[in-house]
Amino acid sequence: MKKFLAILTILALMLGMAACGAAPAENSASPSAPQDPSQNPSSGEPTAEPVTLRMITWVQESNEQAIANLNAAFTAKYPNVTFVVDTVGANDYPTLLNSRITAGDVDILTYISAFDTYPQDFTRGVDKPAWETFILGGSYLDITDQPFIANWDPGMINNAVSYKGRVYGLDMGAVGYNGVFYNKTMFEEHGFEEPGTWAEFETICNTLKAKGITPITVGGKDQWPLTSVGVSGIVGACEKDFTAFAKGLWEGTRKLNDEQSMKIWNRFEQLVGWLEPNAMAISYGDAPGRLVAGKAAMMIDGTWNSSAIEALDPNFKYGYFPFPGDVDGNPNQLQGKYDMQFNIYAKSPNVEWALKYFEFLSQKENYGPFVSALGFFPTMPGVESTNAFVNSLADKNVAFMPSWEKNIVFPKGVGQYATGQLFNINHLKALGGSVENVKALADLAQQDWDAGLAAAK
Amino acid sequence: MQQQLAKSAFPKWALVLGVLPAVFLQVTMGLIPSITTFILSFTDISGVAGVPWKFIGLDNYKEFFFQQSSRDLITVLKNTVIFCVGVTVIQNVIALFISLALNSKMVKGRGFFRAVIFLPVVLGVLVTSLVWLNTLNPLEGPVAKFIALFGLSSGFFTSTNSALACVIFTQVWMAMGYSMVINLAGLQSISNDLYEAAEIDGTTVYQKFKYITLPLLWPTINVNIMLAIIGSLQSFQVILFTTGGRNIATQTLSARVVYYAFNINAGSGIAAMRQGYGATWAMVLFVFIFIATLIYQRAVKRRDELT
Repeated sequence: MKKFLAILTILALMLGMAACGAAPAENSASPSAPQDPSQNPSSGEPTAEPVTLRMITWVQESNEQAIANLNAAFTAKYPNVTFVVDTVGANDYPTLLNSRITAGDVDILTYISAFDTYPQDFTRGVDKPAWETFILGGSYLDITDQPFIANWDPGMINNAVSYKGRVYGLDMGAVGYNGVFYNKTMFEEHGFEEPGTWAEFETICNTLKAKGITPITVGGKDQWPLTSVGVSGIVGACEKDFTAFAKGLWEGTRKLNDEQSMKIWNRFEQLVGWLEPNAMAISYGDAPGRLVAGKAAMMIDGTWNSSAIEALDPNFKYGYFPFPGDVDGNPNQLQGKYDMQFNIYAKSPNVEWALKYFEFLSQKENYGPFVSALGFFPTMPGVESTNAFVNSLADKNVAFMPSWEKNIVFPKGVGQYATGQLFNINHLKALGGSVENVKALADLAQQDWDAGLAAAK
Repeated sequence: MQQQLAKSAFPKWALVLGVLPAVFLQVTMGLIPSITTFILSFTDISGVAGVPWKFIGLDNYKEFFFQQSSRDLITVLKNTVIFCVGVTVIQNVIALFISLALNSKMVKGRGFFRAVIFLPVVLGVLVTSLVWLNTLNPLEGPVAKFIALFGLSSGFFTSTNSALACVIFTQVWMAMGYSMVINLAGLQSISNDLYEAAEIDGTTVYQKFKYITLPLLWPTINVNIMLAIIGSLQSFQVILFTTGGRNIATQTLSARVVYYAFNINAGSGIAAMRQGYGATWAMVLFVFIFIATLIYQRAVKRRDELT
């Protein structure tokens, strides 16, 4: 009996181990030498075999609609190809991305930004970004040698989608996210113009507040609209050289509670006072509705979300301006990032069709309407956006630069007060946190930063 | 045992065959994943298929104990204890009173009330979480509007001060029906003869509860308490669906396991998954549950010896 049980146990263990170690089936097609999938190699006639391309992206009305339109245009050209697009909220998207790649249940992936937030020569003990593990794991198809790469802006190709000299994706455009949308009608009624300096911005907010109008709303429930967009805006307005600031923090020549940093913290304290009450309970998706409904005069957000405002009320008059600094920079310049990136899952059985899709997307006549619908600044030479809002930002897009978020990485294991973009204002008591004021928060952030640096040694 | 087997109506091989499916499931779904998790805690495996990984010795454990913010770790451990004790105590006390009430023949419509209280168990964690997220919405929720009548306000799930309490409340609301049903089963197994004899002796309601109901129900309550301890220590779903675990005020050990292993709530930064390090957190959670269970069992044993 003992032998019998022992054999059964071993068999069960072997079965379990085999199941755990099972690798996804390798794709037999060679990704480096794709055939035109619309052509039957033997006859030269288009194949009519139905293909379903599986895509994943995050919930963002403008993106989803733009992708739906692009997919419809592709299907119109290749009727045998249909799409299944799965979406989840932006905060849950990393989970979906990881799980679909692990399960091999996807053909075309989107990524929330470019290949950025990469460890610098002055950083140490930094976690690998997810995109790097996907490349190392062979999940992203190397598309370096594809002819359609030549259609795109070399700057985007080199800075946004390349890793060690190889190209792994296409980035759909750039966005700014260092400012606020504002209600133009409300501004006109009160005789306000876009502020050039912080003092002017202060006057606008205080005047509105005195008149019983909430100055600013934000989707605080998702946190990132405040701790990513808001922080990028204020730090962007106060610091001239982000790399020097980040390097200074890593090397100890700058502190999160030094005089210069305290100026940033103090502006956050002012900003918190202008936010809608219980702003941390407002979800990102609900914030545009509150701006359009007049519950606040401004909304902290990125330029990508203009279509959400237009979808709510096409007649709503709105504009966008970056958070201003001390010096009158009107029009202040946008800071941001390369946004939505497209990648092909290298082990997909539909690699050929995915490449065909990329080729289709790389044509001006297809990319133009797509990027206009997305509301991004185009990353293909010769393509002009037809998006009125994007074009209205032309004078603010003269000296576009990467935001603070794209310049700072933190050591592994750093405490809660110094994660992310280091200015985690969500911990303030006024926003439902536990820290009384910005001075105390700045000290806590520096303590966590110091401990993180010490551990990283 | 062997004698019992020999006396059985079934041959030995049939008995072994009978338990085999259960053993197989336990081994493949419980034992092997547990051992694998232990092994993975010594690796730098990311969890993304195809990414090379290697054994890194005790590095993950070093990082856990020495290379993370001790303040955050203490907060997470404190949250875990508060969540576990809060859920276990509140859930069982309320479930006990409700089951006593709904076992009484004096209560009309007992079946209806039992069904209503058991409903959250059926609805599941997502629906229950959404119900309370909406009810406790600080902007438009009915509770916020009600307390505003008295000049009060709260951020509920969004405030550091109240978030953990709200999460405990939601967890209790969701799981209480389960404890109630187990208690009811225990109560119904207590013979009525005992109560009738006690009534003849002129005992009060409280005396009946103290000397008949409680001692005889104690094994059932024990099971409920054990289930609540283990369940609450393992639970992360309510946290995930209500606060998202973004606020450290509601992060527990199990929520951190999920965070590292599956990149839940990585936010816009999107750090890579770290299933090796997540496995380390899972091992710490295992030790935590083991110690908590051991302490409780010893306390029960001590109580039994005294009585």
